Amino acid sequence: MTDTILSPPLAVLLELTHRCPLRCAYCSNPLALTPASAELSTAEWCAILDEAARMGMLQVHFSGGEPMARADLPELVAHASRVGLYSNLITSGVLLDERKLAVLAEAGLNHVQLSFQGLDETVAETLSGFRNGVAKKQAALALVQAADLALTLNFVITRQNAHELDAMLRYAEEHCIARVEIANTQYYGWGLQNRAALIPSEAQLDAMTALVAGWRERVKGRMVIDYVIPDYYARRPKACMGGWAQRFLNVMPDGTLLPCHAAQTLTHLDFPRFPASTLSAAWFDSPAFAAYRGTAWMPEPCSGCDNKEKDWGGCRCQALALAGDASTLDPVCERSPQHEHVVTLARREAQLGDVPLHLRRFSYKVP
Amino acid sequence: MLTLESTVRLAPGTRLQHDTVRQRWVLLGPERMLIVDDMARLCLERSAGLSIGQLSERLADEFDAPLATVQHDVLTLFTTMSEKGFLRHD
Repeated sequence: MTDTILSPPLAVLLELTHRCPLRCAYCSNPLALTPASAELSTAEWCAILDEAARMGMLQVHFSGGEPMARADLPELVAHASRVGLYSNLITSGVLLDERKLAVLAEAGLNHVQLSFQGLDETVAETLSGFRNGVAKKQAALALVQAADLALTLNFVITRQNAHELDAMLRYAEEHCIARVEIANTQYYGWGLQNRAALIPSEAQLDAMTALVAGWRERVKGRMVIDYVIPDYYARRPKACMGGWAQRFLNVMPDGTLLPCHAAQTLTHLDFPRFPASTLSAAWFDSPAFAAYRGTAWMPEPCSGCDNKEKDWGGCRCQALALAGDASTLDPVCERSPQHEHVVTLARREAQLGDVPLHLRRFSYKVP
Repeated sequence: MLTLESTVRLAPGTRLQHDTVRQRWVLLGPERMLIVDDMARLCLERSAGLSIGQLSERLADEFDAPLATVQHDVLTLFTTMSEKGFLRHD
């Protein structure tokens, strides 16, 4: 930001743990997963919630890994309620049962976001390494609805399940779901490692886009459909996180404070860590958070671009991953010299058919 | 489709909250937020148990404004909120 006063973030995303019963090939967690022994304590998470509310953050997303793998989740949700934060649980649903859900509802949980790897057990197991996941998620959905909690279904889309889109939306409609996210995998962390196996073709994408447009028209006012495309096929980059360090603050399991969950790939930046740093010091004072905030850091042609305050230059992690430089154009942008290369790469990989997936694991070594 | 006969209520998982740090009111929903001005907040707070038509009549009365304009404004406001998923209606 150059000439405006920096606002505090609107929301905090807590990656409570990297532990998860699923091993999704598209997981956006870092390749170097944090072991349970390095996770923050209950008291530390509560202190983070206190400071988030004090700073003016309005929402907390409990995420992971699988946040329900933390036994103290109800305590953290209750604490979020006490300090006035709107709470959202981002879960696979496979650890949910009636008793646990009742405890979370009692703690004041505002919303559940339940993720699916599609509705076909075989495909879902291929993507997540978890057996009978679809049935477990469907049971979780029924529990959440019976508890009268607000719910969003999140369908993660890859080449393997893109053809199920109509069935997914039909399923959501049949279950009177008010909000659905059709979220094409974004290629970070494990997803980036598996991109050649996961990325859909342009033909698949075009079919999905047309289908979503038709569905949106038909269910207007009843069901909101959020649709995220794989941005390799886009002409303009996404406004990643609503702009670097402008809206969101992420806390990793060990307390590392980041402007986005993938930012640790930017190893030239020194990210602060709680409790050595407060959230406020990280947000307002740290060089890492300031590095790509606003427009002052932008190279040409970004700095002269009409969209610079819409897309904020896209994604820094993607610029590094695909163009080898975190401070250059997001190669997804058609004005990037690497744009053609990226689209060609995506097209070529999308035609590779069955490519073996490297499912996420704690012992993975980068090849 | 909202009409003057519709009644609205906040959707599940939505709440109206004062943002004390930024000195404004917001509607909070799943991964979304809508800043509401004084008039929008008034409409939301007064809408309980009333149809949009009844609410418009009261507001037109109170603010000495043309009824047709108020009806149009309230319908537009609630339609936008509804399409964004913040409201349900009967």
